[in-house]
Amino acid sequence: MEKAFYEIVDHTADVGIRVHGRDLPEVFEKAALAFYDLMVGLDAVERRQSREVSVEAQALDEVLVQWLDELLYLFEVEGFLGKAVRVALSPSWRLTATVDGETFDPDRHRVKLLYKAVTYHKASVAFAHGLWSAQVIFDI
Amino acid sequence: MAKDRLTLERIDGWRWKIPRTGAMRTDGMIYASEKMLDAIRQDQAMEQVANVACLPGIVGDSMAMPDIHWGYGFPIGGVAAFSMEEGIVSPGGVGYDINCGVRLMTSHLRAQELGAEKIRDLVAALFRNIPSGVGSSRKDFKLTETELDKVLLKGAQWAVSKGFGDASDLERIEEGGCIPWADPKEVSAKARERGRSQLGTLGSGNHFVEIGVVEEIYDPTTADVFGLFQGQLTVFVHTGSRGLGHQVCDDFIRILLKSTQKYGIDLPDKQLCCAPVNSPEGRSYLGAMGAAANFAFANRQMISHWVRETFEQFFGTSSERLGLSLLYDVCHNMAKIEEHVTQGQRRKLCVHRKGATRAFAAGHEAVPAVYRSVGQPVLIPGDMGRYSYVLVGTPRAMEETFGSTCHGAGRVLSRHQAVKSAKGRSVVKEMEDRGIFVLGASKATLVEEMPEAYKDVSEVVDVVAHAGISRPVARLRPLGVMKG
Repeated sequence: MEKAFYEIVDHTADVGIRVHGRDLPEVFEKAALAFYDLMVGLDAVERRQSREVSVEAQALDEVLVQWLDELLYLFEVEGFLGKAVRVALSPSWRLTATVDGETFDPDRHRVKLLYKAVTYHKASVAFAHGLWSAQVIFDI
Repeated sequence: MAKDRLTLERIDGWRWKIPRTGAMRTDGMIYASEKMLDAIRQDQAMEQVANVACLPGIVGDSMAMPDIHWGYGFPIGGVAAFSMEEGIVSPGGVGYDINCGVRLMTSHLRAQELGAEKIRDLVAALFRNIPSGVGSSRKDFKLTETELDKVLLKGAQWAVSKGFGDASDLERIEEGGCIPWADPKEVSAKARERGRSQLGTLGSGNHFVEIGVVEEIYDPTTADVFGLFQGQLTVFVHTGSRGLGHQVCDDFIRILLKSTQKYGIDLPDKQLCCAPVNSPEGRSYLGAMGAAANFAFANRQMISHWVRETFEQFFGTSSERLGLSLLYDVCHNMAKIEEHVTQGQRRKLCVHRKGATRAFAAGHEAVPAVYRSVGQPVLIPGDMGRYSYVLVGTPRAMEETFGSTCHGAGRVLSRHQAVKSAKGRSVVKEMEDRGIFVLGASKATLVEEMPEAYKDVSEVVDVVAHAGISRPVARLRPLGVMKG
């Protein structure tokens, strides 16, 4: 279940993800893909439609939480699952993204993990040793 | 809070004090057995008890029940009361699943008359009638925006007015199944959107409907008042406010992250963000939280109606003849405005219970008239393979814990660890060998929820019983479990 592009952060009651990238858009993109992979497995998702998402916050960790929270909302309300993501980030920490994917199909998609919420606990977006990394924990 | 500066002082075998230090405004108090302490120390939960003690306007100790484990902001099992004037209200003190809770239904049926085959069929029938898992909902139930407003305002009262159960259920629900200060206007469009298709659904994770049997009676007089007898068939329902409550929590964490700065509150952890109880932001949160709580009350009321319908179809007789009545319905994740006596003074407080149960003593006016002579029923579900308990509130809880006690078992294995340890095993088969039939919407959930992933709930109940903050009435054993 663990793919090379993200790490699973193990937690007593819940579970989280950690990703690394050369720039901020890349870590936000990888975080979204990890979010979907842990939930249903990316291999099972196809690119059939797309959604536009934008969020804005005061700090990068808050952008990360709110970005994934928006994806959770799209899943709960429309059953939308992402397969490919393109992110742009403006200096005032406004994130805009296009997510390609499809809606949930119980015949082809098996939910492995359902998130209740994306939490601020230990949520971080940081730069170290020439790489950006992001971490977030989900309430299950 | 720096963890290494915190110390634990033994009060007796069941109470451990974290003496006030650094920015703490009061002591911490953990209800636990000596055996539990190592796990508590490792879990950072102590640090969280101390963090809560730093919040403005805290009255009495920052407390934790024996099922304490690490949570977002407040620990799970956390109880803390705040002054209405100088105190705060915090979504992190309530949790994401607002008014997650349990209700217990009793019956005239004796479990042994049914046998394993019938339990299996009954669980399968419940599974067909009660929506669980992703995107599942009843085809015969749709909720309009106007009706949703009524749900948010009236809770279980709305459900009863729509024919889900009857009026006599209402007096057997905490707060009569309706938080009066709920304000649907404070619930965002997003939260409404997430909730609209999820009313009357069980959800996933640790939520369940469980058929059980009363295995042991500890307090015959109280059991009699509660209508419990040995060998009786019972039904537990555990669920909450679904996506609507999660979104309300999330919305207000964002709002309160800003107001925390505005009111100059120093936070050791972002998840503890809060606002003064009497500030516009604090009142907004309480209004939204109340509305989400009402959504959860209505949700449990609808699901228990479908439990009754399922039994009626299955046994071919009315639920009245089967004696399927509600014993009680308790909330696990709530902030409430309650009156308590502290240091000889009666005052209104904002009591946060996160993964903790209200446990009022005999005589309290909030205890339903039918139970007032003995005290409020407290329902403690365990893991799906062992047992659950019915307790009753005590005067000692009123004096020490703002009338609060534990809420369940608490996890010991992470989901990832549970999956690892279940590799190559069949959890369903193992449960069947123990005489428990389990059916789940997701196989992954069943594995994550296996008994060994949880603490033994008996150890938790032992602590609250010895500490005197509630008293055991009966022990129940699961026979058939439907998991989300």
